[in-house]
Amino acid sequence: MRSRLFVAAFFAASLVSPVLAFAAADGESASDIARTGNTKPVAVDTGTVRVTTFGIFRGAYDFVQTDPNVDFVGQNNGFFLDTARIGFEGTSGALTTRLSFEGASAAQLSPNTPEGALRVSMRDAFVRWDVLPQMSFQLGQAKAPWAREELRGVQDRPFANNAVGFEGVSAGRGYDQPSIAIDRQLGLLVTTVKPFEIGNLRFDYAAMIANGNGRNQLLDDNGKPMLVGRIEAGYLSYFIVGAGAYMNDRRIGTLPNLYDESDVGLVVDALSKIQNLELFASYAQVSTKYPTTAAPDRKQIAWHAQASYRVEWAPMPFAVGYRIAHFSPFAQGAATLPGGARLSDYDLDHHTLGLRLFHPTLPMSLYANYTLTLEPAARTLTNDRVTLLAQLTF
Amino acid sequence: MRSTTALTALATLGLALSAACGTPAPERSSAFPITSRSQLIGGARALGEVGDVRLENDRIRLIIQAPGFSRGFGVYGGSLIDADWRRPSEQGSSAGGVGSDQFGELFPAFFVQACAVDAVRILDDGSSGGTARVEASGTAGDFLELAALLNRAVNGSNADWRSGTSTPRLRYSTVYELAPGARWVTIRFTVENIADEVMSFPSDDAKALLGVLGLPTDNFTVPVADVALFGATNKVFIPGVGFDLRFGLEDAYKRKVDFPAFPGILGEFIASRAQGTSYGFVAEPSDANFVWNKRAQYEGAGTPIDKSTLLFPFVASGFVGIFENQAPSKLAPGEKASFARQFVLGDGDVQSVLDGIHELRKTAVGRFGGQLFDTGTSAPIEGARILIYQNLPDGTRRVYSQADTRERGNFQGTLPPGSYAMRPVSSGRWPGGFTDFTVKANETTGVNLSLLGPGRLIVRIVDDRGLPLPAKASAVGSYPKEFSGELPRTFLFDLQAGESFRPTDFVADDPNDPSTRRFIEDTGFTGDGVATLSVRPGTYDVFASRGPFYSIDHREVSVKPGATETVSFMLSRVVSAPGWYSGDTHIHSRNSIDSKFDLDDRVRALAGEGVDWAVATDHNYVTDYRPYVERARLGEWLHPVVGLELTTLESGHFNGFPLRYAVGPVTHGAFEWARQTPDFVFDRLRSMGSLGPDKTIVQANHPRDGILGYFAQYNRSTRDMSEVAPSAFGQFTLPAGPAFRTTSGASTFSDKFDAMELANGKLYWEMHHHRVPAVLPADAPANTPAAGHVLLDASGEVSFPGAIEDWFQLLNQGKMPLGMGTGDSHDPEEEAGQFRTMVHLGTTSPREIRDEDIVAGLQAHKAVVTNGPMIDFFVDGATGTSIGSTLKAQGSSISLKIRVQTAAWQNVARVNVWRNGLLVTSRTVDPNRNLVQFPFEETLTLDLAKASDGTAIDSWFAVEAIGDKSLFPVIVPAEVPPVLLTEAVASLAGPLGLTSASGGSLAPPKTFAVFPFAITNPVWMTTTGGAFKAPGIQPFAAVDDAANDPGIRYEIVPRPAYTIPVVTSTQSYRTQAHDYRRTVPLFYPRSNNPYDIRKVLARFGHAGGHIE
Repeated sequence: MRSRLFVAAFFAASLVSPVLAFAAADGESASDIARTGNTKPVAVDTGTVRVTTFGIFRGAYDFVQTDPNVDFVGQNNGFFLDTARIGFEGTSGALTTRLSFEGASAAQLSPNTPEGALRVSMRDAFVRWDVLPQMSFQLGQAKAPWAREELRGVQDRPFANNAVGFEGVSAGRGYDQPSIAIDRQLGLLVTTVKPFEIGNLRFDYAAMIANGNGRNQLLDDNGKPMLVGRIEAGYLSYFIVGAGAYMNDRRIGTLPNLYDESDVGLVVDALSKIQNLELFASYAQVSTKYPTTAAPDRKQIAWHAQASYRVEWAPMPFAVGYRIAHFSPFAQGAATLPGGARLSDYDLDHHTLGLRLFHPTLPMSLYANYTLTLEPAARTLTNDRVTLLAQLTF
Repeated sequence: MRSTTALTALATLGLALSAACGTPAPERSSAFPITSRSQLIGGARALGEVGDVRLENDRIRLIIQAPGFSRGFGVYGGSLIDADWRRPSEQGSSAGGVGSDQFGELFPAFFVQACAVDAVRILDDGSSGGTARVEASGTAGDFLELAALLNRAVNGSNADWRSGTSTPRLRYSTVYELAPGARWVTIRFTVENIADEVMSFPSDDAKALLGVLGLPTDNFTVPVADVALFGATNKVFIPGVGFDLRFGLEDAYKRKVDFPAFPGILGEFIASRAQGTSYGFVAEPSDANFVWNKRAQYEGAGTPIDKSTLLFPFVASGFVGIFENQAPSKLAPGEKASFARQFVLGDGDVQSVLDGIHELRKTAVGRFGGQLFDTGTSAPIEGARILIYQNLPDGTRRVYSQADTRERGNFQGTLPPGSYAMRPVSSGRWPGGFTDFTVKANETTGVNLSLLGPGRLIVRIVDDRGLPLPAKASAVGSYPKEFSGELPRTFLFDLQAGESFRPTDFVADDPNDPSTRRFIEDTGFTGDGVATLSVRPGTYDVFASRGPFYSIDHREVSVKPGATETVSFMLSRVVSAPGWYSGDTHIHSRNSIDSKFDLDDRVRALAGEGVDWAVATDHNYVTDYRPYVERARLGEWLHPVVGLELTTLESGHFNGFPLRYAVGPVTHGAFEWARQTPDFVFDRLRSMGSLGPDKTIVQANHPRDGILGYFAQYNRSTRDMSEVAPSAFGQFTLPAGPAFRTTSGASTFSDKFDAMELANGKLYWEMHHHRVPAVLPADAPANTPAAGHVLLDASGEVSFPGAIEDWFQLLNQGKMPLGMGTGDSHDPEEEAGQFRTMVHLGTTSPREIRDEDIVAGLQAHKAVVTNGPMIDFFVDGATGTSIGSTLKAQGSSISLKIRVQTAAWQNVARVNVWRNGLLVTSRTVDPNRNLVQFPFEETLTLDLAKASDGTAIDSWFAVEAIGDKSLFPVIVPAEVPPVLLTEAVASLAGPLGLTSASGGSLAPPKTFAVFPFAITNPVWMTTTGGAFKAPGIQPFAAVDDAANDPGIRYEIVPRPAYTIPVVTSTQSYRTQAHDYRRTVPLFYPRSNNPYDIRKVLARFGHAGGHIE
């Protein structure tokens, strides 16, 4: 209850908190909370409407060690299509409409199997009205403003994928484990167009009321909204600290067997960019209650810290990075479930070394990541992973 | 401007929202006649039709059948036949309803008498806002001719208890009441005295009869009951026994219950688990409760007794007798007695039914819930079962309910406050342990559970060309030696929890020899060359097979939790029989009330067992397998034939094929059989023939199978098939309605059937007359005949008759029915084609087979009954088969060349040659001989039979082969005994003294390892070259001679002698020697599947002469 009150207060604060605009040196601004990331769009003026197109392509080769004991780990190495996105944004004065479609949306048939297919699905679909520089209303489907790890544009990531807590573990790479990311939601968002600026300080906010049952859903699952909010404060381009919170009452199941679940998510993160060095750290937790079944509460904790350094002087600029990430999907101590399962046995620790090559002129880069995966002894797997990924944005 | 616009929009939105929130519409119920097929309910068991009455509210919907012949398994209309939830997309079309009805039929019974409904009317259509009510009423009707006289005597329902057409004195009414918002229907059964005098229950006539039998009549009350056919797609559950109704009832029968009480299971409720919709039944508390009024008799049964306790005297897979109340001792003229119960709907599991019961009774409850996870992957487990147990004061646990895990492994339910335990169970996983929890009123208790991961086997089977082969894969395990000698169902699987029965090799356990401790964990069939087996993690010997004429292969595989292992095999056909194709003419699927076998799986099972042509014969339901064969791309392997098993309750079961498939009617052409003579049934089946009446085969099924046996029910002598005059007692108990007797009293028995089953599934004891064994049991009576002689009863009839000897006598009379072997398989656990009929068709592949070819081959009698050995014979140097031919003998003898083959994993130990029903010669075969490499071939010179003057007479010859090698694991042993009259009807007739002698220790065993057996149809040898002149009935003295003992021996492997462990907190068995011969089994599983109990109308021996 207290956490829900905190979230409610946070949400309210993010709506009304005064902010100071602060423009980041590289063009990245707190208003990127509401932006879902695109660079150098191709623009077409059609009189009163300016239409820009954008897109991202990410193709990769994934290699996962074959575990000798578990038959669904490391059996599906090969090429995969991470992202094949195209989008359109139309701007006319204070109104903006944005649509984007993903051609490599994975529809997995069941956990722990690679069976499934890629299909086209919608990502962003919203209209935004910039009422004031520090207030815009956005209606539609868009990224929920919670954790920077999610909000960060795909093309800006130092590594080929997100930290394990926000990426999860998918088929072929280990025991299937959903992440704590809340992804896109359908609802009403209010945020800044430009951050509030007070001297060298900048402040941003975003608040969203949404259905809470994910993207591309027909209707709300239970008639109750999800409240999400985020605030950020930064100093020049050197440091941005943010905090986010959400609460969401969900309902799963099919009539007449419906089960309510209630989530409260909290995150704090900090980003620092000094010269070519980038440091980032994040701590997030999601607490879930089960009022229908009175099952024991669940808490998921994901934290990570990463550092990357970009080298500009090379003929082909590159960046090297390291990330340590921890994900505890059942962070309730070492309690043992009937049947012998220990909750702490499901923890995951990933160490990632990354290399990113930038094309000197084209918006293209190559990633090479090595991830060392560590699990508790009871569920240890041989599933270290190497990912080679090529990315093109326009 | 922008701000003003925004504010205006918000205000408008607020007004609109407030206008939308009006007062909710009231709940309602309604009843209306169905005038369009779009109003039907739909579902796997849906039987509703236009003309029936629909009863519904906002939650559930039901259909009451209009008067007429029951479309279910009963006789009369007016029953509740369909029930389902209201669903968002329930609107049907002209093709029928859309829904998930899984229920068969429910009708009330007064003792064992039903209501012959003559009117169904809507008493209240619900338009006034109250409860909708529908009434089905009529006078007494019997669904069991056998019990007709007894019913009328006990109930006094008619002026003359000897005549069912005499003036009725009772009128029955069943009112179905559905209140708004309820998920149950109240069923109010009323008995009304419409006579001019006071009626007593039981009647004075019944009291006199009971007095003659020496039974006490004090406190004998007439039960008011219901008969519920849940259907085999429901797994039925009763607290205290869980899903293990088979052995639960067996244990209940062991408890001594004296008349006027009846033995059976006691329970607070009965419920089911099914896909989408589940069902339950409770009685309204009443001072007239049957068990409550006899509670002194039932104390100690382990079930709390109150005024709503139910008694289940007999239970089948879907067919349940439920005693709730007792009739008052008297009813004055015009007086009525009413009894109420509720039929409750659940959404697929037992717990949802129990939740409905709590809602109905406003029970003070608490909630429980939780999630179930996979220990290895942490993924939630959906579709598992959570068993709920009451923790009893003595430290034991009593199974009480069962909940399914739903989306994301969630489960929940309500329970009265108390101490409980839960236990997760799921297919392919080892069951979890018990977790205690406490339920408190108005509180919710949450528990998370976990299970180890499942095991999975992928089995690839190809033929010798490398092409995918329809075949069967079986995972055979060996249980640990520390369990040697223990009854497998007490440790290997938990039937109470709904785990499947694992058949064993039925061999005496040797702790030092794992091959004596084998069991089958799972079987699967390859449709496209790949079968997937779900196994509990462990080590298995995986077998690949394809029926009796293919090789088998096996390999050991270990499966870890959460792992999948793959194994491949190649099989080849080893028994060569060009032109011969094996068929099964008796097969069930989900279209039968007593089968849960999905049609897609059914055709794969047929092809996987090597059946080349298959006749669909569902109970009173015409089925066409063709679409499923084509969908599975099995057309190269299996030719389907449209057929029907016309299933009467008491006058036999008859298959007809090939038939026309009528698309429109619910049962696609099945017809009403009640009170119809056999000739009517035969003629009607022929009229449905797709090739015309002359090319339609009518087959009499299991003719000696007690109440299900045509010959038995029509009292055909086991000596010569003539009619046996009923005894004085038999006149009282034998059926005598219009199906059995003409108005002048003559029997309506007809021999105008084309074929008869000689072998049906594992009913080995119904093949040949049972003879006295060579080694007598210690308690054999002193006057037991010598070994090899037929065992007779007190009246001189054969105690345990065999269909083959009946067939012989029919052949001797010139009747010439075709001898058939069938599987009568109902479910995956029963092997399709476990007996089959080989027919010489002359085509080269199943794809070329046509119905006309099959009929021609059968009508030419070119058929061999077999479960393994392939027999052929050739007369006087013929190069083609002589089976079924009519030939002229060259002299007074013939030269008969016999060839017998079997696959190497089977054997033949004895070959018999029959002539005119007597054994003319036998040959012993080395049981270790490889009959593939070295078929048994011998040419015999055999004399024709001779008349009394020594001249040769026309003679027929048939050849029989018997092996002594267990066919496990391809065909599993008969491991669970079926039920005999004495035991099954003891629930009703036993206390009344109407038992039948079971033969005691001399009775043929009902449990044994299955061994090879085959018999051919005859060749008819004439002396003149004209038509065959039948030799006439063989004198029974000749048949009885030990020289004609065919040599059936059941003890081919050392019989197991199991012990049953002591009751512990997790078990419910007590130590005692478990002798299957002396078992008191209950109802009638015609297979090794113990809880797939189909027919409550169990086997009846000859009632006359069997009274003790």
